[in-house]
Amino acid sequence: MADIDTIPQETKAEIEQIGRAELVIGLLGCDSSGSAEASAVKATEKLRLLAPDINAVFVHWEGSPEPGKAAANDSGVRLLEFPRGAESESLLQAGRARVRAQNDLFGVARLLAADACCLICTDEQSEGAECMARLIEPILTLDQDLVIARYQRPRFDGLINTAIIYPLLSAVYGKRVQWPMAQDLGFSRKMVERCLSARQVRPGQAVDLSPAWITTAAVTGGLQVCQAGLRTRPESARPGADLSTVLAELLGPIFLEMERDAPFWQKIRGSQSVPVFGDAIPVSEESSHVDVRRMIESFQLGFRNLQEVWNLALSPATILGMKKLTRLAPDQFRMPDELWVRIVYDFALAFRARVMNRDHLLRAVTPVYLAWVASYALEVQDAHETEVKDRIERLCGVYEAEKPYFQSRWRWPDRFNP
Amino acid sequence: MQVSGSAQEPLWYKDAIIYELHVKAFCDSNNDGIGDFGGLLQKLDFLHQLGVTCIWLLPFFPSPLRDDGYDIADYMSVHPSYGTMEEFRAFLDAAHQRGLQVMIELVMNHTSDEHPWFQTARNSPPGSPERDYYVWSDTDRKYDDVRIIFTDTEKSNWTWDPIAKAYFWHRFFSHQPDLNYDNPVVVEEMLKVMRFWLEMGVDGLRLDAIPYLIERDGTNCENLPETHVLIKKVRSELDHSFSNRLILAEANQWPTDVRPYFGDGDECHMAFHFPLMPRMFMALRLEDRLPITEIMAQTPAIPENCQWGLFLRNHDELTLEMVSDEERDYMYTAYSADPRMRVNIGIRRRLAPLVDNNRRRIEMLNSLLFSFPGTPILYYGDEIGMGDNIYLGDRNGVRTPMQWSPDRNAGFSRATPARLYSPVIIDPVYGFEAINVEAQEGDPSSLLNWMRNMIALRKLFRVFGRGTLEFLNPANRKILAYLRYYEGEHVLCVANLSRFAQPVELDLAALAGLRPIEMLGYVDFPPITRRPYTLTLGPYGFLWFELHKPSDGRPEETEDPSAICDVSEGWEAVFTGAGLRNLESRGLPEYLPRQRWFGGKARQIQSANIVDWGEFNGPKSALAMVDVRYEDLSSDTYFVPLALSFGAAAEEIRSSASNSIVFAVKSRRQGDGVLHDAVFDNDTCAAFLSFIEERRALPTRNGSLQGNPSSSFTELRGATQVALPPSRGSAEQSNSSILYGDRLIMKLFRRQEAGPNPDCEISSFLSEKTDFRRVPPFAGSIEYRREGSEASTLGMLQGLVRNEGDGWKWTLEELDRYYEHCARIPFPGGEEAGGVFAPALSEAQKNALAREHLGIYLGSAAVLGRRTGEMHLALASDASDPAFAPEALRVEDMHLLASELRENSARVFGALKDNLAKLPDEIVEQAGLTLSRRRQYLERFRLIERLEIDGQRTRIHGDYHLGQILRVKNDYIILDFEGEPARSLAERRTKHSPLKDIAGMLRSFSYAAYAGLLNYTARRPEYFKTLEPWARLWERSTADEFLREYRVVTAGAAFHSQDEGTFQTLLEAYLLDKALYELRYELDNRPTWVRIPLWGILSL
Repeated sequence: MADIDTIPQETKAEIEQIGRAELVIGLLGCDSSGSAEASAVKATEKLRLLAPDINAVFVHWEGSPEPGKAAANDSGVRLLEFPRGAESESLLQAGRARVRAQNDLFGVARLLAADACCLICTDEQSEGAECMARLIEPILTLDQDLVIARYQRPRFDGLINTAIIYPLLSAVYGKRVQWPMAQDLGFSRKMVERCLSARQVRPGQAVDLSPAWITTAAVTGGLQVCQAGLRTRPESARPGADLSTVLAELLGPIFLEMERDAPFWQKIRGSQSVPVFGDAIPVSEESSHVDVRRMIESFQLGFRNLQEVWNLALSPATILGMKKLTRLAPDQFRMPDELWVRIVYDFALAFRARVMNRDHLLRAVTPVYLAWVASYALEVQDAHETEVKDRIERLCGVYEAEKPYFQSRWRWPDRFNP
Repeated sequence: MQVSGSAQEPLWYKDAIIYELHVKAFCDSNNDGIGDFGGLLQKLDFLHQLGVTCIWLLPFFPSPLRDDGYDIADYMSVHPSYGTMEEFRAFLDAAHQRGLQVMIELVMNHTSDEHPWFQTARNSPPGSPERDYYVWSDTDRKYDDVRIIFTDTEKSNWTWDPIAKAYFWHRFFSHQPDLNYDNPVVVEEMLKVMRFWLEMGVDGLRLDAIPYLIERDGTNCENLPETHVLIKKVRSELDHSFSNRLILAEANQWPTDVRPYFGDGDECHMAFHFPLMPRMFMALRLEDRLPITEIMAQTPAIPENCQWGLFLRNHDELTLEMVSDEERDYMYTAYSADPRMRVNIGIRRRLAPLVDNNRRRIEMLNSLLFSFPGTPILYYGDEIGMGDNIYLGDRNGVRTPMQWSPDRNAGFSRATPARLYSPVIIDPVYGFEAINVEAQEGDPSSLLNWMRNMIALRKLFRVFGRGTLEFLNPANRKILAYLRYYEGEHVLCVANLSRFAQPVELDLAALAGLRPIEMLGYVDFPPITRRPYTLTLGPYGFLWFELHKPSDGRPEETEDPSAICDVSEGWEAVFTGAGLRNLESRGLPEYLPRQRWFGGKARQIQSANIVDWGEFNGPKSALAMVDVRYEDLSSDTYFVPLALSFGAAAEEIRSSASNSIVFAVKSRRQGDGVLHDAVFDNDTCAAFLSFIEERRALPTRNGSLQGNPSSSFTELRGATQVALPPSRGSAEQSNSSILYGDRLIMKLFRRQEAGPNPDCEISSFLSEKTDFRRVPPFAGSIEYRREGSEASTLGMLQGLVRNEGDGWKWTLEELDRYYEHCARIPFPGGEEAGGVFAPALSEAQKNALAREHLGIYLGSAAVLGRRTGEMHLALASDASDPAFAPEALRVEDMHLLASELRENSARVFGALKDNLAKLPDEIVEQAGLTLSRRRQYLERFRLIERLEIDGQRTRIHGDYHLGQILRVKNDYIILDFEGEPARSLAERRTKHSPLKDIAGMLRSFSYAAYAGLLNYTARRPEYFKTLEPWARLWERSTADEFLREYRVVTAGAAFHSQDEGTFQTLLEAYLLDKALYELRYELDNRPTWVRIPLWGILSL
């Protein structure tokens, strides 16, 4: 997928004129030339504080049909424009558009022989400049290869990440990256090359894009990974989208990625923390009570209607555990971590074994995910911030403890199991 | 510019799972009853889901199909029954899109007689270029010694062609004339064919029948040197224009004969291991691992970029060419009760019927296939347990249509059943209604799903395709147990060859502390300790274990793969701080056991510490001394030259010498790289030479290095304007060798001890201080001196001597001819005339017989005796040099010697007694006889204490046998004065009676005689009794001739006793000691060879 041949010839000519740049900065959050230029100016000011003589090129995606228009404007910043992809209908398409943008960025970085590059998703100028500095500094000064944004979020935001993606990928790949799907990223030259080669596939070969593929590519490639504390996280591509679709479109590519990387992670035991550079930036959080009743009802309804599907994916003991849950009163509703983790692992295994249509399978996660959310909400809604953190880390611990179950069933996917 | 194949890695074939199929048999898309590319395309997803990674297509070219397509009439097209070129391309693209590689056949040896080349040739006049495409003769008596391969159908390798009015040569059917590769036009034509398919995107070529490409009079026309020249040319053309491709040799030969087809990694990437396959079936039926372990012991190491191809069954018969006559009889009896199951020299059956359709046997055999060192090759249909049809002709019974479903024609075709190219299998057990893909896909416990799981599991671990192999030797021979190791991955495999449950105790003491995890279920097993590790396996059960480092119960901290050493600031980063910790804790302990020269493989490394290092050749390389300590508290010091390579050079190391990599590094300026053995860096190799040439000195952190050229260096080096490009010797053992052009060879001594290395010391002495010239000329050395220690030798430079191979190899070749000659000649006076251990013939009769039958070897034994005598005289020639001055043998010396010999022999007799029950039946009797004479032998050592000794102790060769001499123009060069590598330096430099060397060589003659006999009779066991007295005659005659000439040369030398009785007693004591040493070695390593030292002991 990643291939600099996708960069139009005229853009390459522009890049050739520029020659070399130490930094390439992609401004994915800006949707007009004006805001991109303003962001670039702000970022340049910030950069000069870091390294006065540093030479940077900015890349910006906008709707212009003319690709690759480079301009050194009045402010002196070099801005290279790429066309933005069509409006996204789905997360998957949004993901593809994002990967295309990443691809453009990597191509430019390679052609300019940049030492580092970064991708920033905010359109807020001063925040963008701060974000850029945090993503770039560990690469230039600490020899890191990939800097992944670590966002500070209210406890009920990003719950798919909290429930599944963060603990699952930490246990499986052995690196505890809190936001493996972060879109604000810093890359060393080595990481750019890794990305360009990791996704090299032959023309016509199907590619499924995991939203966490950059993180997993760095880990499987043995590169130095760190996190940078950032204030904000961009909103999801489609606010208000159907939860089943979101789950299916996020989990499918991640499970596929795990299938490809199995020779790597099957030998990983335990996990390691990943350093965080920059202080955590606290967010203010208003206390809020969550009404979990409808979630629990959805789960109970799912249990009645989706038994047939779940029976194909989940082990008898897990089904029994869920049955017990259905009998709990809402105020006592708690899903044990062990049960939840086995459910996630079982779905990943069923996905791999193609026990049924994969999309249907992933959509069947929704009711049980809602059950987990209800249980989690009841548990943490009144908890202190540090207790919430501990709760998430406890969940990570269970994912790790149950990994041998996952490994054994992955290696010998016999449906006849406990 | 190379055109890359579809695989992303040059060594992809090492991790591949190959699936062999015939297009005609797989799936028919146009319903004409014959499988085609359209059908194959439809079934690609099945293959993808099965997990195979490479499809091997049997010939699909235009052909009269009289040999299943191996009779090709057009190399660059598709047989119309199978489709068109466009359909082939579509299939190829679709396979590549699924990540599958494709291998096709390159049938180089012959064409169909319908090929236009042959039609033109037979109609062209003799001597014309067109005629010269094939091998013609006016007589059918040429190449008369060459065997016929298809014995069932062919009576001669020549067939008369009435049109050409000449005989044409064919190694296979008479309608398949052999191409003439002495004609460069034919070579170019075949290269064109190769380029045609590779340019289209084909990933691999199976070179059919390559041992037979060239013919030469007076030979068996197999495996000729000219054949290898041709294959090297094919490979070089391939490498020049293409990358990530494969050529696979089909050479149905013994492993030692197949080894040359790998060249130095510059001929074939892969070759089939033919002899292993029947032995797996034999081991299964005999419930005894020996057939497998023996053939693997005979399997030589291959270059790092090469690979064996392993298979259980294929499109041909289960070939029994590579087994002895007795073994063949057994296999026929065991696996083909019905004579219709046999064809040519083999059994035409599929896997499932061969093992009586027993699922456990099928699984166990596949577990061996998937876990042995090599790339597994599956034959279509065996993944579902398809049966065969022995009522079909030739080998067509195993080439029936693939069984997809219980529908008409097994789902293979919608054609009228009568139109099918072959009837489908319909019997009640294997018929398509019972055995088919559809049914097995729906059955989670089916063989198909089991195969899918096993393939997926194997693909998780590179160790199976790339790792080393080490057999364990448990007492229960029904258990086959082996260790595989690759880059930190340790795997233990245990298989039960028996139909009943079996217990086993494994000696895993060297791996004490590691924790086995059963691989299929990821189940933790109890940790390994120094005590025997006990397992019980069910009938035909097998267990695979990953061996992990111990955990103390807490979650293990994952090894940090991102901790890559940054060498931007140079070697300090490797040898200090985190780099050093990484090197000592992970790098070296994982790197050292992978090296052939590392002598501590049997022991568990406790620590590996750098005790000294210094930069060498600028920032490119460094020389390190590593102190290795083992769990058993012993220790060694190793010399480890290291280099840093980046970019393309690093890629080259990764692809061609990955075992030499210690770990990955990075540099800000140069990017990613590797730290590796500097022997694989040409610049460093060149620097070793100039270090000696320029007599350079170099300080290290705790010592210094010094280069010393000899007085002959300049002459041996030759003109300085002529570059001497370095290359690496392929016969690396305990040392590493670097060749410089065709003039010099450097030996790097890996295990280091303070003090001069005897090899260097003696070579230098003989070259510089004596007139003895039958050693490689000494050209210089590199010495290392650690502060406060005596200097040691890091490397020795010698002139390269052109030779015809070592004495052992040459002797075995001569013996093969000798036994072939004598096999049908009754030994005079009958088989017993030779006497079991004392030939009954008179000396005169014996001499006359030897002169008549031994040929040139008798004379060459005399030459060797003379050279040995001259060597001993030279070694004793300088009384002024304390290291070499002869010293009188004293009574105390004899007492000490007798005591050592007694102790050693008591240990060996003890080991023989302990192992008695494990020895093959035919050896037990001899072993018992030897043990019954134990006291007599021990008494013999006591005799030497009573000798009135008058000889001398001198420096000697120390490890003298036929492998230590080179055959050079009817004469010999003696080399390797290092002594027995397992002994300490002090022991190896000790002076001894030269009779110790003589005993070594006499035992070597004995070994050669019986090794040659065992090799010869492995194929023809019926001749064993006939040939045994001939073996004794050969041994006695060569030994006598050698000794006679030796004594003539050394007559009057002070180092030998002038008393004949003393001379003989001492010689016999050394002979006995040597034979006992050999006995110990064979008990530990090759139980079936125990008979050789036993013969030696009993004959004394």
